[in-house]
Amino acid sequence: MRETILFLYSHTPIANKQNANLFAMNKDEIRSTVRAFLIDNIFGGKDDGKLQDDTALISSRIMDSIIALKLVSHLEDKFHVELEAHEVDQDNLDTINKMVEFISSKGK
Amino acid sequence: MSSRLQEIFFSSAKKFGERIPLEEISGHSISYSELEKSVREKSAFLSANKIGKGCRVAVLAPKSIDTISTLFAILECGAAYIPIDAEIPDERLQQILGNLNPHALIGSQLGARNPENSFNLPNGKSVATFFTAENHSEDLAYILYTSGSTGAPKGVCITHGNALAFINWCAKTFPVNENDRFSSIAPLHFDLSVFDLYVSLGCGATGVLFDEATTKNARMMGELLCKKDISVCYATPSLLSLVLNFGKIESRDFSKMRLVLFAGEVFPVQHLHALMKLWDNTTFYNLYGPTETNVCSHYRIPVPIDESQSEPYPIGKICLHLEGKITGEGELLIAGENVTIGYWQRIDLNSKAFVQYEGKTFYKTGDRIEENAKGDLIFRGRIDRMIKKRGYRIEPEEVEATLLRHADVLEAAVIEGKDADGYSLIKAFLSLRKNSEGNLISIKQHCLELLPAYMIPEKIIFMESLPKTSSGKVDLKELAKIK
Repeated sequence: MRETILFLYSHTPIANKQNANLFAMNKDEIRSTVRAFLIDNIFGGKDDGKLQDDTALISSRIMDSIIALKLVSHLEDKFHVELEAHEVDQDNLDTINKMVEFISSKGK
Repeated sequence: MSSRLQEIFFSSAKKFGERIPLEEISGHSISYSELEKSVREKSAFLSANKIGKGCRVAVLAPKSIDTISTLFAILECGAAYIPIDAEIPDERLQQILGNLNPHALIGSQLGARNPENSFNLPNGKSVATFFTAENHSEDLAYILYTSGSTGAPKGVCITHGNALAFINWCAKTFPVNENDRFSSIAPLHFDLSVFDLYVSLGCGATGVLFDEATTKNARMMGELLCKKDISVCYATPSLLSLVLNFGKIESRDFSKMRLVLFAGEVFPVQHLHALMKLWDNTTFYNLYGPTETNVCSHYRIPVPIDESQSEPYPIGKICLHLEGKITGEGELLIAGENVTIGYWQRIDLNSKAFVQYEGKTFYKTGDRIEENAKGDLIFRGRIDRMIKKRGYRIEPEEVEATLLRHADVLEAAVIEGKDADGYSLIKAFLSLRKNSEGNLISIKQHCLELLPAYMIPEKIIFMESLPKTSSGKVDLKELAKIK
């Protein structure tokens, strides 16, 4: 039993490589998590179909800096990643697509 | 004692020559003597272009060493400066410039807004365009534009005497010295920046300039307030709360942070106490005052922390060099050296905002204030509809007027809402025209084109029609009940 736990939580490069599928981020899951958060926190829980994966969120001010920070904390908790302070910016977070790419790249 | 604002800087330059008055986040800095040289060269250039006493110079540039030397140069040649948010929409900029009628416009990123006949200023990237306009008051130091209920921003005129009265009071009240490192977080068009610039340079300290993108990233702020060894920090409660909640400050050493001043809105007690526990080497003050008076009351947050305190702390006592009165309706009135001489070219507003009493001119703050048993003043909200959010003032009528310009919007009402932590936000209720395609994204985009970012509603709620009172007006009390 103890060995199994050690194996699953091992962070040695070899174990990661062998079990890449276990640790790899599921982009669809990130996408649906981001979308659910935005619908709840910006669109009052109603998806009117106008939020596209390439809708600009920060540059258009649809998402303000406070909601962006809450979203980053939420994604960090859920996907066990950590963003550096300078990474919390428009380049990485402006659209759902950009967030999915960025968060999944952090998990590699 | 100085009689002109810029003399605060020049006397420090004489005394502290090789020390550092200003430092940018990038690490770029300048010495007092270098900054003085830059200010004098720019001032000579402006004078040569007929900028002098009674002139008004609009400055549309991000906060930087270059921009601040331009502000001092404008003062030195006898003119007043008007810092304008470089990010504001064009229409609003035109409203401000239309009211201001400036003699020159200076900016480093004017881009498409840069008209012909522009000139590079010495020592930096700033570009100036000169106009002809009538001269007015010779004693103005700067004008700060704020939201106006008639739909157009209004310019609060601050004289050298007004600014100096505030700065001298700060120097006497807060124990700051040349070894301090001040954060400059507030943008230049926001009056908290007056403390950051002039109180720090007045005592020979260093002001660390935080650009706007950095101040919006609380995680970065948490890192930089520590790494830049900030010892004196003046900020809004909402910024401090964000740093507390998202800045990852628990794991950092903030033993250098010795003075934190906050103003502009109510600080929820649970956040303030949590911050005080992490920064246990720091003295905290609650400052209060509208742009028209700058700070007019102060309260030192008592230590040890009183866990039984659940209401927000008082705004304290009126500063000794000012006079406060509370009217029968509970409105606070302020008179004294800090108080603005009025709004630029708005006689209509001036007659409403001031009242004569016992031979003195009092500014009507519009804030409802009570006095507790200890003689400390407590903020109880507004007597009108104005919203105070993150230190900014927003007239709901101005946001409503903007929303009604959207082709799909039939009715619009704007009220103050609260987030989970108790901070103010702007809530807009809309009903749409029949068969219209109006949606949240298009409404937000519409606002973005016409309003500064802080005035854009955080919450937009669509309704079939807005509730009305018996007299047919929108029932704001009924809207306030809707979550």
